[in-house]
Amino acid sequence: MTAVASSVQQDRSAVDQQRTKNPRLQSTELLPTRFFARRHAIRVLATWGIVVVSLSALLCGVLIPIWLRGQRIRAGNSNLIAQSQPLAELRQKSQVMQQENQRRSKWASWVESAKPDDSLLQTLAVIAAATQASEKEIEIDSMQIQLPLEYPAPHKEPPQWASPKLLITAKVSNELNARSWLDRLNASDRIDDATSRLGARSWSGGTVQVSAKPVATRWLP
Amino acid sequence: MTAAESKSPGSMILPWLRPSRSQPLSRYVGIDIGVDRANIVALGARHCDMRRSSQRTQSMRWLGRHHFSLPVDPLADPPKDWVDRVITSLLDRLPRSVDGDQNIAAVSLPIPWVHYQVVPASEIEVSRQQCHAMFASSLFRSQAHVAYWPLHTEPTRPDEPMVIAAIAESAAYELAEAVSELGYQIETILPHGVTLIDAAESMTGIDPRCCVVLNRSGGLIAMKNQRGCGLCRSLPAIPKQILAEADTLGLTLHAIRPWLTDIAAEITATQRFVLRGQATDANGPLLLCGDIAAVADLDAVLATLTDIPVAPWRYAGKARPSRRQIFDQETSQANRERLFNDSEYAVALSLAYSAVESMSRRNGK
Repeated sequence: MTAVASSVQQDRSAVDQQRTKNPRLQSTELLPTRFFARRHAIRVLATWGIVVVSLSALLCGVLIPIWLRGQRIRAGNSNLIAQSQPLAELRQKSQVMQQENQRRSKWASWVESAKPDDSLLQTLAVIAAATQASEKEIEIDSMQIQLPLEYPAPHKEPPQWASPKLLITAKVSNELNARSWLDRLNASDRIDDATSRLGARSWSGGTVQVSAKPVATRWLP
Repeated sequence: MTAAESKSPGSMILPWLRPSRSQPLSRYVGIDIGVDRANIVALGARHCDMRRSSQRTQSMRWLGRHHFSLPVDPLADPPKDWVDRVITSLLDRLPRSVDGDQNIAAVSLPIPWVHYQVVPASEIEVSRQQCHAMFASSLFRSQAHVAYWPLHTEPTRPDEPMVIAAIAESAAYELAEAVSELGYQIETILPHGVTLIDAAESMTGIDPRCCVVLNRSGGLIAMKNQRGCGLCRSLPAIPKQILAEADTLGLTLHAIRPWLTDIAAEITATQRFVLRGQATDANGPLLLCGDIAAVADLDAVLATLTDIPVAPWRYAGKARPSRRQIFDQETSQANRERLFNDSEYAVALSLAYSAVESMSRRNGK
């Protein structure tokens, strides 16, 4: 606006200057200067208007795609969030469950460790039960029970000192008794792989050695 | 406005204004606003021929003419809303320009609106102030816009007489706005005398010593000097009772004879005033135009009364509208005379020529 006003002012002042400098200058124009000035102003305004409109159109053309892209990204993100919500919930739930589980298993281990281990007694009970049927014929001299022990992680197989071992030395009157006793020992589920080895003497009341693997409920620390 | 269009005074001229593809003429429109009548003339000229003035005149064509009456009674006192009435009827009845066409227009105002005066060159500013005061107290209620030119040739002394033509600025401005609103590119508003003298030789082929406009509502005399228009003066209008009687019978030479004697005396006095102190004597005929000029034998009587040869203003260009009617066998002699009678359109034609001139001057710059 200021540019228009100043240019009009310039025009008018130029005309006035000419007139005052040379009053004899002839002018046959009856159309007021105001009219020309206004026409000129309108023309200038229109030009500037076109410039401004085109520039703003350019600006809009640049800004609208940017805004649209932002909008699209925002929409995509919100969509992602909406879709991943059940997943997150699930994960949270599973985490809670895991923690619960840990807590429970800890409790269980506490309970477990609080319970006395009766593997030794069970083994003894099994042997006693097996022996009871022919109590008169079998006389147990010695008994050695080694329950499975905890061993360090690097060993794949349990080492010699940690493997379960059952060694019974008994005097048996005849072989038949010895065999049935062995069968009864094997039948029980607390003892595996019961084998016998005859002692030095013959079967008129010889010594028999039974070796087996006792089964324990867990490793002994 | 649409009603006026459907009545279609404008549609008569619009086919003439429309450009044909084979001849890309640009249109120059002269709008001569009188007291009770407006005359409009369209001249066509090619842009390419605008360079040399001889070619320019050659290539000019009179494309169309049109007139409509203005709602002002020349017999009554000037109405208070004269300017508004003129502008409204212009807006209603001026031929519309076809969209996309360039119509360059020159306008002249009614003769009573223009105030002529002769003052020394040093007193132009004083008389400008006087004109301001005068127009402010008149029905225009506006400032004056003053145009001036030397009475003789280039003034050498500071008190050399200058001719002043003053009009109301607001009236001219509003009128120009109205005309340009209708699609015309308004180029200039000229005093009648200036445009008549400038265009006389090119349009009529006659180099006059002066031009006289005689209208029912007032007249004007413009003297020619070496550089163009010299003295301009208003001439007295026909007395009202003569006009009132003539309304029924038409103007007769006998009825206007007393008034014509006065006019002749004014003309000789004006000429004497201009020639006073000048070495050279004026030569060339007096060009007569205006609507009273059509009265039969008026030119002869005026020549006798003034002792100056009188020539009626007649267009001497190549092409003119309604050619077919003129050369038609059935057209009567009187009709033919009427069709050839250009004196009513003299000012409008001169204005159109001035528009061509001013446009070519601007292009030449």
